[in-house]
Amino acid sequence: METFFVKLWQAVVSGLSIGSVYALIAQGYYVTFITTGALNFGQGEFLMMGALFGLTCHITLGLPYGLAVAGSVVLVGFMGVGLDRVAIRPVLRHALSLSWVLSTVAISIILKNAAVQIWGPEQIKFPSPFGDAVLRVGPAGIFPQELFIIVAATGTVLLVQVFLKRAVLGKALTAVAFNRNAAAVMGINVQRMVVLAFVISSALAGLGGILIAPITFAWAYMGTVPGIKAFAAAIFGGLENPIGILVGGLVIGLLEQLFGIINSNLKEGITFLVILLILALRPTGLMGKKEIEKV
Amino acid sequence: MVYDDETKPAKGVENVTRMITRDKVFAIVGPVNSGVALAIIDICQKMEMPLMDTIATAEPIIERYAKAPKSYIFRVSLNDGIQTSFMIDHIQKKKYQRIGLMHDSTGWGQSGRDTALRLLKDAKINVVAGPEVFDQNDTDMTPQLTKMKDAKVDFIISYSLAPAGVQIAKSMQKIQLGVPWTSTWALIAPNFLKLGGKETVEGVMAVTSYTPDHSENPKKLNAKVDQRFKDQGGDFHPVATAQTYDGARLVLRALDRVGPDPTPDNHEALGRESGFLAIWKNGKLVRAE
Repeated sequence: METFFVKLWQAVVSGLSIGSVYALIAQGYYVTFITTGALNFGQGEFLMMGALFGLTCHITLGLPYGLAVAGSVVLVGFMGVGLDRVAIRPVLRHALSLSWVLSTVAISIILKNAAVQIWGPEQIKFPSPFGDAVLRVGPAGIFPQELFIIVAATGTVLLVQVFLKRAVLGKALTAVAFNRNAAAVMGINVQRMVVLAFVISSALAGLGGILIAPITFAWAYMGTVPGIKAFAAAIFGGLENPIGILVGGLVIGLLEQLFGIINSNLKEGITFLVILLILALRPTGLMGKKEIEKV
Repeated sequence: MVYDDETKPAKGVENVTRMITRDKVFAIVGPVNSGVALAIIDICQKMEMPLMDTIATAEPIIERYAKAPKSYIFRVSLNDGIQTSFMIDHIQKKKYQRIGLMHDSTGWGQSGRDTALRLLKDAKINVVAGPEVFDQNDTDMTPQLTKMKDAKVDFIISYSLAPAGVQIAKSMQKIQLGVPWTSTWALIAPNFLKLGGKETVEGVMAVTSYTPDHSENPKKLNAKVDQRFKDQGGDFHPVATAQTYDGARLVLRALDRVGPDPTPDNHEALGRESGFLAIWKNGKLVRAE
């Protein structure tokens, strides 16, 4: 029995680390969804760009880690402006248009191709600034970088919430999300808020990339799986509930590790089966608002 | 013509089709990955295109068409059966009793698992944990390795490529599992050392056909070749380079002698005498005792 708890604890520690990154990327889906009703299906590739650009800053140019993180976040944030101009604004003229699905996927494929050209197709080591010595948390082992990921990712998620609730700019963005027309009447520049939403969303992905690169290595294809898992976290948690998304991300990370103990062949299959079951019972997600249907 | 399949079978098929139909090549040397090889040999055989496999190791690459009236598939690589036999020799010599088996979910990993299970059974060696599977891009192998630890394994055979190999070594540190383990020559790749670092790869074993000689003159030659590869933006993989050189020479000589329609009986040019088990020590690969 004792060994079972040790295993469980190890799975919890590992699961929280990867889950918090899913939650971080998924917050990006939330921010753009509430303002425009659109998602960036290239979040995973924005994450990859954050990691590889950070790698160039940190390793090739020799900048300190903190500066590399800031550089990546700013660059990928700026890519959000471009994304809005190229892939969202031109196709979102009609309220029911779904072309943004294709246009954001197109951007993601272009980015992947470009990254292979610039950085090559192979994994590249991104040394952790905190070293490679395993820390012991009770009977479980964890790398310092993983611990840093949990703290930085959940901290950022909460910071974004404070920004949206307290800062003037954040309140303006929330107002646009609540009611676009009313916000415009009140003198808020809706177009600018949409750009801001994509900047925040992209910057979060960029931050996620440079955080996980020391664990996953940095490479052109690193973003695909986290992008999909984060999307699952967003839907599973409830796309319009940021705390639900945080929980959703952590739960998916945990489930994967826990099912891995039982059967590593089926861990992803079982995880997504559980998600399907929960969505069948709660169609708006774990913590989504219940929709009232008027007949 | 040089094309990169990025270890993706679909891309390999696309490349080979292009080489045959558009570039009109007379022979193909490669690929590196067994999953890709297994996907392209059918096209090569059907289109009567000689394929010289110099690194990919899955046994069915040669076996699938061994009984065809004419087989167009050749190899100078050490197949998985031969590679695994060195691991079994080592297990028997060290009298390990409890073996754990792991593999990635690619075509190579699955065929390697079958080969290992067959040979271990023939040698009457117990597999007490596994086969456990992982995705080649998984970053945390603690669930699989915890099962190995629970089963009290004393040796692990893992069919893993360099990135997954590094993750295995790291996850072993996490759960404090210190047993010796080995993969095929996937882990002699320079990338394994580069991604993992000296400390992480220390003590990991891998099969190889030779280890670089670190004495004076060979070292100079090695540095020269290494530089030549770096200038072209690549990594010098000693075994892959040597065998691809051999394979290409063999293809050219065969073409000189028999023309582009080969009918030789010998399709396999590297045998058990050519390999051994090596171990990572202090960032260098040396022969395991």
